[in-house]
Amino acid sequence: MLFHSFAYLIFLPIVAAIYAILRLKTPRPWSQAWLLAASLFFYTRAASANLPLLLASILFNWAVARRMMAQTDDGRRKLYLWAGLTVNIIVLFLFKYVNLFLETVAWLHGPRLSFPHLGFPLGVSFFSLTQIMYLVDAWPRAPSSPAARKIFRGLTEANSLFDHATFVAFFPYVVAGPLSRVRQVVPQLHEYTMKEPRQVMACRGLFLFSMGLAKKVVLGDSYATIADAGFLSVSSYSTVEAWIFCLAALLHLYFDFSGYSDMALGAAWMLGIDIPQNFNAPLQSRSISEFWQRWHISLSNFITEYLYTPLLRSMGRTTLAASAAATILAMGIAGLWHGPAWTFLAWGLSHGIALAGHQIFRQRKLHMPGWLGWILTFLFLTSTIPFLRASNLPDAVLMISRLIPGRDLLGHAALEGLLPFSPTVLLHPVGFGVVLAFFFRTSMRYATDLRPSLRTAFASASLVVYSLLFINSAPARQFVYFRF
Amino acid sequence: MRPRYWLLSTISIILIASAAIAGLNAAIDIYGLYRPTRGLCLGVYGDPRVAKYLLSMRHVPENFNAILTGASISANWDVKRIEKLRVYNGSITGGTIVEEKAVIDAALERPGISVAFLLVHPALTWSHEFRTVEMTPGLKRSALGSLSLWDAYKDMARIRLGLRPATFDCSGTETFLSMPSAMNINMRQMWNAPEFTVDPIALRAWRTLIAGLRRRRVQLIFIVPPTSESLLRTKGVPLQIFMERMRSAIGPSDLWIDFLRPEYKEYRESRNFSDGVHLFPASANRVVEQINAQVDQWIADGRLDLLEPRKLASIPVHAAAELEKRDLSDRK
Repeated sequence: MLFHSFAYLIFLPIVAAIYAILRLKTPRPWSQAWLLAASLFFYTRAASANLPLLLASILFNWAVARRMMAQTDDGRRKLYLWAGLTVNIIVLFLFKYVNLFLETVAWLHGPRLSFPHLGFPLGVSFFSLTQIMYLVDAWPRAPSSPAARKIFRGLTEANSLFDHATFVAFFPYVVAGPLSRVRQVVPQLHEYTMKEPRQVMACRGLFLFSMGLAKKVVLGDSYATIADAGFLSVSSYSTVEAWIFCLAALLHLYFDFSGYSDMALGAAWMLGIDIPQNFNAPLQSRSISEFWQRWHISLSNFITEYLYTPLLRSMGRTTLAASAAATILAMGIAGLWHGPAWTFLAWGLSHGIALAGHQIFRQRKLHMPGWLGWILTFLFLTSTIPFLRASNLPDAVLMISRLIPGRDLLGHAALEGLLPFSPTVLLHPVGFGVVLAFFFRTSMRYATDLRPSLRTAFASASLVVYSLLFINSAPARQFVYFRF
Repeated sequence: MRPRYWLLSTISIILIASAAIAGLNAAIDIYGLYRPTRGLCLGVYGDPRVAKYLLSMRHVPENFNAILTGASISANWDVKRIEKLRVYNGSITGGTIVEEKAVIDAALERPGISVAFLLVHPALTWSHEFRTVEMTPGLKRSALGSLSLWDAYKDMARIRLGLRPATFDCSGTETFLSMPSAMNINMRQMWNAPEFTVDPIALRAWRTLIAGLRRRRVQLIFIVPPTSESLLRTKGVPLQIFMERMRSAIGPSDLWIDFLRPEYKEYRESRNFSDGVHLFPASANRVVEQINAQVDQWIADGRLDLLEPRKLASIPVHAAAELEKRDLSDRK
């Protein structure tokens, strides 16, 4: 069940309405049980074959965390932590990278050797990271003083299996994030903690959801039409064509994933639960560091806290060189997290190098006008997107080489040949999307500023109805991040 | 406004607007999906793939007893010239056999079609992609409100207001606004390769289509279209190899009309073609007249009886069903 399918558009309001009634009329476990049942139903509808893996992951990590927290001996506690982390990493590697390894072995051995393809369980990249975060949060001992406990970021006591299952399987983020921490979500299952009243949050959630839906199906899929055509078989594009295809790929990725994240956050708000924000107008960033504070924020936080910091600590003294090396290494790993391909590694490393360069730039207290920083960031993001989008490294390198002005600067033969089969109306939102991505506020800001009125009700409904026309036009495209 | 009322208003507007849009489009029903269409002339508006697929669901079987499948090569063949059959031209520009199969499958969901003209050409089997939309029964929903429908309305309005000429007639035959003076990039790639690539999924779709048609007792007429002599000089042998491969699918009860045979040399003269493969309208008419003559002869010989259900051909029902199942699992 995709967020932008008719089935989900019926499923979500029913789940939210029944959940709201149960919260009001019944003891808490009933409403939480409804949420858990809805989440498992959602996951089963999306990938029924992978449900045992999700359930096993929940059960295993809950048991490990519980045993770990019960230990008085630090050594044994650490042993449980490493055992739990190792199993999660093995699961992640097994499904993400073993296929590549087996395919390589079979290719080296010859045509007679073949291995079964293990498949790629839906959401395994995300729920495995959630479990890793959970184990790491459960590891430090909670301080005894109440004041210290308040600011303590770890887990103060072991969760029940019921809480842990509801936390991990929560349908707004189980498949593609945002990566959420146990301390943020589980207390909200027990009591309503948001500042605004529940109904106000439901309104904001619906408004945010409608904006996310429109971002995904109206804008994201329109850019996908152009980007797909350009990256299907990279050939002798002119400079202008290469830039158009790369910009379309960047905007497709942005609108697709930020649209998905808005829908996830909107759905969670409709249920009265706050989860992390994932995007904050990243394409308006004036440096690569700022970009990574605004793009896929929950993953950036994970990289900083769970990869970069431990790597830096392991290097001993914190020097600029050590920091740069840790950044490049952490970003390389983050790149590989997207999938078992050299292109993803190259993408991660290129961003790591840029981030390290920016660290040096800041360290030397150099300054750059904001507009120049924005242009350089934009040029860098657009020129590295082929690593994420192209099907192999040679294609990515070829596309990047086409971005450099050459003999064929303004040719448009490829565009003419590739696009006539696209429905013209699909291309209309493209210009609007550029303005929206580069100059407008984030959808989150619009949602939090929402004033319930007939005008905003019409705006929200119009976005949904307009999106429905797009959804009804072609079979729904999967979200890009479902692949990672 | 109180939040509760805002929620109710928003959801109500969504429901009312969606129902109004769907109701209005169902009432207009340009594809004839929700009303009897016998005797109506429903045009092809907007994306021809979507239009021909949706028209095939009801309009085609209610008004025609034969269907021609093909690509742009046969899109401008005036099938009304085939006098003893009511033929619908289901050819799709840039179409593959997978798309054509979808059109035929839709047309066979209702009784009506008893003869299928199948174009045999490498253009249909070199790929298995759906070029614009995936033609599945779910596409029927797009007739209730979608971008493709909006495109179709705009197209229809322009034609009815005289802003542009109609390019399709009631039988689905296309009048090209301008004949292609050179092959497009795909066609060029196909003809420049040393031999004609046959996509395995497309080939399976071809076989499944034939098996399915036999199972449904539809009479098959295969047509190998003329190709200019200048192209045949360099690619004649690979084309013959391709045709032999395709010919293995035919059965004893089928008709095979081959314009590559020596006696049809005049149809292959270069002046008949705009780009070596697409026939000018006058030349296309002569080709269709020749097909008409052969169909007439065939009927005169008693080999085609539209009133009697056809005998099952050599592929048994269970084998055809198995082929279809394998094709489905491949696609998944």
